[in-house]
Amino acid sequence: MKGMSFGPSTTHLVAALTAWLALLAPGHAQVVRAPDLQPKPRAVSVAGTAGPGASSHALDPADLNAWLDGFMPFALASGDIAGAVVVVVKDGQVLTEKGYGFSNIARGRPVDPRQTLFREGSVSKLFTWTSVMQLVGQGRIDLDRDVNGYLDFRIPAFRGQPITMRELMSHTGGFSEHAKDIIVEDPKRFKSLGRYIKSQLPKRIDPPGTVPAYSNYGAALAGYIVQRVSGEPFDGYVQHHIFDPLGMTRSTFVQPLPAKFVPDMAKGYLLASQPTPRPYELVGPAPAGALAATGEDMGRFMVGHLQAARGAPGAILSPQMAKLMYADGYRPISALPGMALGFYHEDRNGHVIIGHEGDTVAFHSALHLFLNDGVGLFLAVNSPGREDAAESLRGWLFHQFSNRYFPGPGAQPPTWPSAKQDAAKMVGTYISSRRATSSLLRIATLLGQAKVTAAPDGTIQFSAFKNAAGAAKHWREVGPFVWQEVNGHSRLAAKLENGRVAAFTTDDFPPVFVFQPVPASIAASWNLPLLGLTVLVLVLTVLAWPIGVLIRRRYGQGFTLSGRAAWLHRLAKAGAVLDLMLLFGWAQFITKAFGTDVSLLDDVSDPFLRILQVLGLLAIAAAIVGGWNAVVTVRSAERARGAKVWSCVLAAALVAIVWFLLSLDLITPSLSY
Amino acid sequence: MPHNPVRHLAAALAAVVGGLALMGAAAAPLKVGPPPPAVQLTATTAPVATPAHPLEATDLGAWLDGLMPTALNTAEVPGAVVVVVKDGRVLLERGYGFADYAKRVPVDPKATLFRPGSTSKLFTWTAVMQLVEQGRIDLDADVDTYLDFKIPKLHGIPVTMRQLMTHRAGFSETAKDLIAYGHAPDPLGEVLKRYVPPRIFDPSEGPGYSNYGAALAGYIVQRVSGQPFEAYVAQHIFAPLQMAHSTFAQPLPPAMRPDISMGYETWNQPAPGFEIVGVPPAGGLSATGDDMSHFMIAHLQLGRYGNAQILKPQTAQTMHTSIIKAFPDLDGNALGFYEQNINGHRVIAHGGDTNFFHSDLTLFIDDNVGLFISVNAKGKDAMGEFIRQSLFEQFADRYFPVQPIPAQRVDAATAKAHAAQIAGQYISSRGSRSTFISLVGLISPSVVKANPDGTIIAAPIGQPETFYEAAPYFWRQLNGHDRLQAKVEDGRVVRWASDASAPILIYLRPGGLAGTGLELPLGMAAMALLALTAVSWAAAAWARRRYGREFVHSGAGASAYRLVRACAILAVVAVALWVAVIEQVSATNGQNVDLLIHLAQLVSLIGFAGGFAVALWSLVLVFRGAAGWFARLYGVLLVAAFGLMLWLGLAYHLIGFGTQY
Repeated sequence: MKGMSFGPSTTHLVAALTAWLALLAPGHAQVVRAPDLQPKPRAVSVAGTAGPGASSHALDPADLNAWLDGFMPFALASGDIAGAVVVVVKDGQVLTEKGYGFSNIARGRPVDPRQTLFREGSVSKLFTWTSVMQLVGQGRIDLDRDVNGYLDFRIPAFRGQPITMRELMSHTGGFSEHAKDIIVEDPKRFKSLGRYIKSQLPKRIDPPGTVPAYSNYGAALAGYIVQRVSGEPFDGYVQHHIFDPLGMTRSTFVQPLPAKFVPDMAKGYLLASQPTPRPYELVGPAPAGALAATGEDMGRFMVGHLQAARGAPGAILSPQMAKLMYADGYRPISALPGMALGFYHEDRNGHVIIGHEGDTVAFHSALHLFLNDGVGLFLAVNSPGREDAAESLRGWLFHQFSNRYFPGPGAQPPTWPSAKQDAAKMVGTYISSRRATSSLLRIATLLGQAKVTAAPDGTIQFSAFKNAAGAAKHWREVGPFVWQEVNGHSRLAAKLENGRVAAFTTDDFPPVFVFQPVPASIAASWNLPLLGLTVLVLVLTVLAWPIGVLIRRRYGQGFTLSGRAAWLHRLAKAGAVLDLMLLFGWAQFITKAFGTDVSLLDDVSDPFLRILQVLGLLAIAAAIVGGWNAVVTVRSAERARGAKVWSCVLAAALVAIVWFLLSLDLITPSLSY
Repeated sequence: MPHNPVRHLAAALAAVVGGLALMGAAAAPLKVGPPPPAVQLTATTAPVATPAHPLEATDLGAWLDGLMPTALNTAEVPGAVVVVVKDGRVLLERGYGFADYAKRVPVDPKATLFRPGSTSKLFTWTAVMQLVEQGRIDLDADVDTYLDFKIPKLHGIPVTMRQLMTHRAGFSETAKDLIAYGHAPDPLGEVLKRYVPPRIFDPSEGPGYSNYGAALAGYIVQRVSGQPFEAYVAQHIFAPLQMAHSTFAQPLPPAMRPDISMGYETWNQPAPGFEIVGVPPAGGLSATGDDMSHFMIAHLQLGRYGNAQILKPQTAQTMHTSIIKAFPDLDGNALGFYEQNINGHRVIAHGGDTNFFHSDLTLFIDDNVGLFISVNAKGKDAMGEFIRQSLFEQFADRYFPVQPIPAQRVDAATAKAHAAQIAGQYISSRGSRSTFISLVGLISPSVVKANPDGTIIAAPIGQPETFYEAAPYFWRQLNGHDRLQAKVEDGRVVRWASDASAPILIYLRPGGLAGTGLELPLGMAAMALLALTAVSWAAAAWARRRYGREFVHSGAGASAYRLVRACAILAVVAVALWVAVIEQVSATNGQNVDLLIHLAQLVSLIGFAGGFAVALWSLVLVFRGAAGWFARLYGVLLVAAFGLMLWLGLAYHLIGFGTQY
């Protein structure tokens, strides 16, 4: 489920947290990676010869099968991914459906494209959006009406404005990012759709229709509306109106998984080489990501849409609804492909392509429809693999498939004359529009910042847009505020307001978020160094404490302070200990929950979060004591100069911790995030 | 310093020896460091029995188009060439990616020169066999017959050409000056005479891959033929095989320079330059993929290419099929080629790794099919080697698929007992026992682990693989092709190898302290004590001044106290210097490292040996005086710590005078 992660640079977040953690707890240096439920860059770097401009190959089963047989086993082996299914449909037929690797390593069961179920993650949303369009076609949902009209609770207005279904479908509802209950592993903690929707309403942080910010909550809300309007439970609606007509007999939204599918459900793994299967992931916002389906069934779904695109009678959507749904309707940046209703456009090489990607912790998938060519491509894998191999694999598969069978002109337009001036305007620090401005997810806002830099030759780099080598891509301006990847074909484009860059993104990402300039108060440029220094001061203070005691004892020296001064001195040091415990606690929680065990994001963590909240309050007290201690020490006639200076440094560190707690919104009574 | 300094050091050492890996073979034997993060042939490459696909050009082309760009992209390798020959002609030859990444020069299989590394040795061995069939070299004669210097005997056993061809001369590893940049190599004879590596094991024990041995064979070709080695190969192999784009000359002749592929770490990091292999017969070749197809066809046709015949059929047959095995059920060595049998098909092969190129030449001799690949980068996580290994296995699985493997296993109790017997630490037969490179064995021994279910985990080529016991002391890789066998003496596994390693190196159980696995932890404990001693010297001095205390020792006691602590500092410095040596050697391939080695040796001598002496002296004084139990215990521990470091320093050749390795 494309969803829940933090900014575009979750990797950055985890790396930063990891580095920070390694300082405090070396044992946790090996964080796997965030449960990334969010659209990721289609990591594409052109190393091979098969770029656009290469000659086209006939899309026939012989060529395709041999090509996939070369592609997939290597990709799985090098990426440490357990298994995969690939389905290609063309002109209403399955061209190929192939399983690679294992659906169950312990039992040695190979993936069978007809039998094995995979989790589709956020590709599930396409079923929700398709349901919505069916109801729109029946006149039962109005795309532009306040969604409160369909609900049994109220979503408060933001600056007087309601949210519409069209906005939910283009991820412009303006919701804050939300993580709680996104994936639950313990069925006892799993909430029904209605309960989830009502208990986890995120804050609205942007006016509707203005800023794209991918929202799992928004998609789940749409599914809840389908349920309310149709009078059927969401999973029942999809069963009757999509699965049944398409003959998708081995697909379900029901959670936990119905027993009849359990034997054929692919196990999810983090790495094929460490084959401990993960529990079945229960997706809280079910319409946003709960589907389990075979590759073959996904082929039927693709055929259903491709037939609808051709206006075939009896398809799951009427020709009018299909046309409306697939149109490139909302473009955050006008020079780049935009959002259809639910699908996003991935047009390339002159072909119209719509699609969606999906990620749970273990499963990663992608669906692409070449609308005018009658071709669909679906991939799902059951492990993230090492170093995001699954994400690289799906981006690379789409890229290579497009270029082999639908090559386009490998145009390299000349450099735009004002490249250097425009590059200068782009320089700065940016953050994803898909973020939380409140709640603990705001830590990601601090850690997920990335920089645009300009090279002397007028090209620019954005630290979050990396090629597969992990090096930032270079971009050359080829039109007004439109850049093309050097040695590649990705595009980056910016939107200006009042002559300044207001937002930009690249077609490596789906158009469900953009990058915006970072306000100074939360700029990582000074916040992160300050955090590092603060931790250093606290650690030195805490380490020096026992060493001082030991040396005094060895040489029979007494503790020279007494009375209030002694107590303040001790309390300030205790404050340093407390702050380190607090930082350690947050680091533990975030690294574990967002790194290895997404199920920690359900109620199970509430008591731990409560403790951290109380420690946060104590940290404020520690800062006051630290300041007081500094005043007393500095005023004292007997204390050495070193002691005076350090008391001030320590006080500053204790105050800095309070700044982080407040600016990151970590001192709050709320348990929703 | 990364989190785990030992792992880091091991990685650096791996890189040093990566210089040797230059001449690695398909088995990539010198992965001494920690395994690169997870490039493993996992379950996904399991040989699931599938029907064979006919090996024809269209299927092969589409298959390679799926595999190779993916492989290059994943590994961040700029370019590769792949050539497949079948029934005496080229079935397909294709370039992928770039010979020069920055300038976007594509790889052209007919024009772009690659560096086949150790695959070059096949030309040396072919040259030797030409001279053997002319009666000018005797495979079993003492090589001293052909040399102008002497190779020492081991237990009275001389070195023969057959031993050189099967890597059984028992030479200690040589790493220094294996690859350099810029200047032409020193004359071959000079290099070989400068340092004759000690012979450290008996030919009957098994193989220990040796670049020195191959170079020696090339030198014998030169001496016997009366032609420089490079000229001999050009005249007697390249010319008849019409390999117009191939040479052993280093640096390249100017006419060929525009066609050489750059070498890379990964696609953004070019190599420092054209790699000059110090001993050309072991790895100095530059050749196009197309030229390599001629060589493969000639060997597959038992010496014939077109109208030329470079070896008589009988000679070629002998070369390909005279197999010597270290373990009866594993792959062995032919004469120069080694076996890489797969899926029931006979395959002879030779891989090659320079610092930046990874190549493999495999001949399916019963199927008249040959496969050559070369990639021009080390790749991310050293995946360049992984590419050549996977290409071979996946090619075999597609076109020569696995025969059903009998589902035979030993019973559970036997499996557990034998797993317990093989578990433990081993050192590689391809190693050094005579220089500081022997630290590889200390820092990064090869470990075999027994799993509770009776399977074992071993890392024959550096990456852990799981094996199950199919027959007594014979294991098969779970979901993979590899097989492992062990030799047992007195109920103890004394050596083992797997197909992936057997023709190159075997793993030996070290005796004494090294065999217990305690050397490294004890050594680290000793160094921790010495470091603490050094630090507390300064801390105590500071505290005495702070609190106005007197120094309690005087006379001899004071001298002993200070000398012990000074030596503790030197011991710490010595270890740091060896780390620096290893870093320097791995960073520069051994340029300008001699002075540093001398310094490290000197400081080790004073710090370890001197420290041991003064610690003993100090201990005597402590016990004669009225010191408390703590001082006595501390004195004993210091003697033990210095003593252990002295022992390790001697055992691993950190105390000595030579700068060869």
